Amino acid sequence: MSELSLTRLDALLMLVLDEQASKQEHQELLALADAEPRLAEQRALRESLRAALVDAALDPIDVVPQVLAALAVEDPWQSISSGLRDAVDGDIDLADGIMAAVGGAELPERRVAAVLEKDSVPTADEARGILLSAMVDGELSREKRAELSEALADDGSALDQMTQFADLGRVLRTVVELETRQSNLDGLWEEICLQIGVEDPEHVPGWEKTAGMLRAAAQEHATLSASEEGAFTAAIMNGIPGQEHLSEVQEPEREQAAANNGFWRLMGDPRSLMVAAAALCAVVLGLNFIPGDSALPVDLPVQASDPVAQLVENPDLGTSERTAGMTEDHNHAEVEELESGHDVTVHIMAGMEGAPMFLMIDEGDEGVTL
Amino acid sequence: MKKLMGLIALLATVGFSAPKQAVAQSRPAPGVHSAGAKAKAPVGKVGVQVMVVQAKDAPTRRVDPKLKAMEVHFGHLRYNDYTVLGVNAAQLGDGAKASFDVEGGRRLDITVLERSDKNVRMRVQMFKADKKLVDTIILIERGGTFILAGPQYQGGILLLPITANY
Repeated sequence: MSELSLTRLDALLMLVLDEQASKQEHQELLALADAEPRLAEQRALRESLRAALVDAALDPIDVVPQVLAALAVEDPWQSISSGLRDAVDGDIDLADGIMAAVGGAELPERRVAAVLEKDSVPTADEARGILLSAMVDGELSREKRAELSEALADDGSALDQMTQFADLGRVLRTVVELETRQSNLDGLWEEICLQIGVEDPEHVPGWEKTAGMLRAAAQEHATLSASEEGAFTAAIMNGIPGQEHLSEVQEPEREQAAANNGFWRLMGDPRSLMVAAAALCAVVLGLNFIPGDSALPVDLPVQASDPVAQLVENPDLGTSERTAGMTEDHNHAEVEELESGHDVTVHIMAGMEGAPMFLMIDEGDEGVTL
Repeated sequence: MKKLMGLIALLATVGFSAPKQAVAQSRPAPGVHSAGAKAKAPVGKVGVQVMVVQAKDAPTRRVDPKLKAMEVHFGHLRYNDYTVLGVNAAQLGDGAKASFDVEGGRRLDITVLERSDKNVRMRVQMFKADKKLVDTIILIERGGTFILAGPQYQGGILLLPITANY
């Protein structure tokens, strides 16, 4: 039988022991057992297995161990039981339970001697102990195992012990699985804190001193005094540029229409055309006009309605903005017309030495005091 | 011949307001025109700037940094605390009007009537609700400032420096 089939047979036997095998798996187990060469000579065993699985005439637990023994298949539980045995403090001899259970059964010594192939014939007790220990440890050959299984088949107490071993193995496997599974450790520290009397799970012993030093340093250097805060705020406010609110501008229609036609307006302006013509003449003739040239003839007629133009270098045809409030000595102003409302008085204070003119408005409620 | 052509070129160049002093002997003098003279204004707009300043009494003297250049002109006022409440601006061509809201429910309308190279003529009107407080026409020098003052506001008065730049 292939290794795979043997593994499958072993697995099915385990399922039967755990009472978890289905009827289909029973059939599969019987088929594999019939095909197994090592069980070919164990016809009675195979019939017992069939009776247990199909007819339910026997308890499978009574038969499966014999099949395992006949197969001499290494029970995977062997490694676990060996590990458990090694890990447990003190001597626990699993064979002792079996030996105690089978103590009343007397195995034929000759069978024992034949099985052990020893020169000396041990005592009955010794023989039983040795045999069972060897069997549990898997030290017996296939043939010896089969022969001992046949001998134990008539010993009900021994079979009971082996059943108990099977139950014990199942329990131990469950316990080992429970112990080795991956556990969620979230919340574990909080539970431990409760058990050991620590109130705050986040508490770090010895941190109080360091935290206090950090707190004191922050309070000392991260705050501003009243004067510092005032200076800080003033520096910020002074750095903010003045807010200029653009008001709605009402443009007259003619101004708006002209503004949309600047170039053609310029070209259509007769003054502009004559300026262009004069500039062309000056360029062609190579004249250098000097204002104030007294050599010009003074008897040429000059009409007062046509003011003489002055050539200005870099004429300022656009607007220039100046900083708000930057009043220099250009504050000369005149009030050409003045009208005030009812009960409103306006006083004009002309500026002296370049000072701006003040128009003091008294709205008539409480009067204006300067 | 060249001089004759140059003179013709000069005669043909019109539209500039400032007359040539050496030739024009009967021209009006440059500078501030008298009322009624129609000066030829250059192309462009007038930048009108209106500051709203609150002047009041305070335990210590405090002048808004924006008023540094103007502080010297406040010496005759009895107040010692000057705070800029706001700055309004508008670009106005000839005939254009701008309206500014002023604290205390007031409104200031400024209309640029005409401008010359030296000065600008503006109409300044102030209203409180529907009541007209003042309606005046002022000829101000180019780049100059005049101040409306006196409207009551929160224990002090308002100063409205108005500047015309172009």
